[in-house]
Amino acid sequence: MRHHLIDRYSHLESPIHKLDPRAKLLGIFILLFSTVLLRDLTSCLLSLTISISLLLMTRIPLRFVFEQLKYGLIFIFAISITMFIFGHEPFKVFLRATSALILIFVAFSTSRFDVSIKALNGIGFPNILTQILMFTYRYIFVLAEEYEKLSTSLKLKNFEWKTSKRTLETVGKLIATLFIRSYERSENVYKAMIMRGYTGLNLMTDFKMGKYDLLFVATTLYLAIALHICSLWRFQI
Amino acid sequence: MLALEVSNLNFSYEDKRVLEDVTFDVREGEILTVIGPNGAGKTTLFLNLTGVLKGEGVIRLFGRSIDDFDRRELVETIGMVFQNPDDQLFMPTVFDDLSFGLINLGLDKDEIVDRVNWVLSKFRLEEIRDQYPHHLSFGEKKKVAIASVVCMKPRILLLDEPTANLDPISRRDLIETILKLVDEGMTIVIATHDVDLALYSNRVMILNGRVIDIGEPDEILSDLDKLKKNGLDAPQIVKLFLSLGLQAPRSFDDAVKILKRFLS
Ligand SMILES: Nc1ncnc2c1ncn2[C@@H]1O[C@H](COP(=O)(O)OP(=O)(O)OP(=O)(O)O)[C@@H](O)[C@H]1O
Ligand SMILES: [Mg+2]
Repeated sequence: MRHHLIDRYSHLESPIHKLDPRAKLLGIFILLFSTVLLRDLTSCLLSLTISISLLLMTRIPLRFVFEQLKYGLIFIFAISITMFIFGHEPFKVFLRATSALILIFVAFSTSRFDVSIKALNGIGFPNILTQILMFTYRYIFVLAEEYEKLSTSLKLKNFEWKTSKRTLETVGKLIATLFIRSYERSENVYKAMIMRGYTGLNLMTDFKMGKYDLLFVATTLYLAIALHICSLWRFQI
Repeated sequence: MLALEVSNLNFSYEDKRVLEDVTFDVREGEILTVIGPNGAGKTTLFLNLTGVLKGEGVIRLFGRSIDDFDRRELVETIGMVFQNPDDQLFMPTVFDDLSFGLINLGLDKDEIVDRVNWVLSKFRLEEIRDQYPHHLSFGEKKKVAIASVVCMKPRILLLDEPTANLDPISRRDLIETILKLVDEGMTIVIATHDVDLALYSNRVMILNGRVIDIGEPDEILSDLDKLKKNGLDAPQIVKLFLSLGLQAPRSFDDAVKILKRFLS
């Protein structure tokens, strides 16, 4: 089955795609960190401008960007409205969150997801979490396939989704079956790992950091600080 | 030399006895096919042979008790390919999966890349080197699963249902690869329902909780009653020969010889 997630356009060529994945993640995380701490409208707007510029630099079709981000945007919008209703000022939250969302998209859409996971590990993401992320990424598709098979077999047995006690019972059983299968699978996977000498996560990568990558990280660092200086300055007047 | 000796192996899951007094051996460089119905304990036997499950009884690998091996030695001595490739392919890409075991063995980077390339060409998988497992067909996944164990070059290779769900060409390719591995000195044990595979092996064992019989393919496969009693069936070609009143062949080459003699 051909599932594609956020990394559908990771094969494009652009100034962002060209970066060493570790430098890219590090730089973007620096911007992200700086963005969520901003406190005034002007610097929030600046931050959003930076995010959108980065996004445009990736040359990823905007339709795909919108498709991927729409649920996130709706969520942010809903939160902002709620804040407005309770008498808070919603614009800054909206801007900061949107900017953060776009930054995360840029970070993970421009490399294959497996490369991003390895790069995360390369900039200090703990081994155990990296391993969990890898398993999740691998088995989410297997689980999806199993779910499809089960639901097809329900259909073949003339099962209809209705709001009835029977539907609920069946869905409950379906979930239980998926759960048991996953549990059995995890046991087998563990055995297979032991048989191939697993003692702890050990990744082989061929990342290379060059001048261009360092320049990118330095630039993001500069922008991150500049945003805060701007923010402080705006606050005082 | 004996690659594998199993004596009086008993194994139960909780209180359900699955293996009972299993005793047999495998010579170095031979192919032994283990046939048995669903639930006969084939997979359980394999898990015991790799030391992942522990039953009662003695298992020796090349003359040494399995208890005297540390994990690393064991990994280099005996490898197992699972029935379901999704259990075996747990890394994000084909390359990552093939290199997984090699990294664990502590090989250096160049050697890992060499070995991965070697196994990719052996199984004709070069084109899917960087693919995600969920983008592969079942047969491709199966091949990658086998490749991921073969590239560690274990001296004994256990294959659980290697031909299940393969198309005829992939099946033939796989059999050729297995025969080549044996030529290169590997010892292979295959668990299967595919009784035709037995005709490629040196010996055949019927397992059904206990060892029902073990011997040369012609001897085991010509006992139709015994096969039937254990939920198995003889290969078509064997049945054909027997109904013609000919002796059962021990392999396809052998069948050709017998037939030529019969016709002339
Ligand atoms: N983890 C487990 N816990 C409990 N019982 C198990 C477990 N695994 C297998 N069994 C039982 O042990 C018996 C032997 O199973 P095993 O998988 O070894 O058979 P098999 O010969 O490989 O069958 P198949 O041809 O279907 O693969 C079966 O009856 C099975 O239900
Ligand atoms: Mg089995």
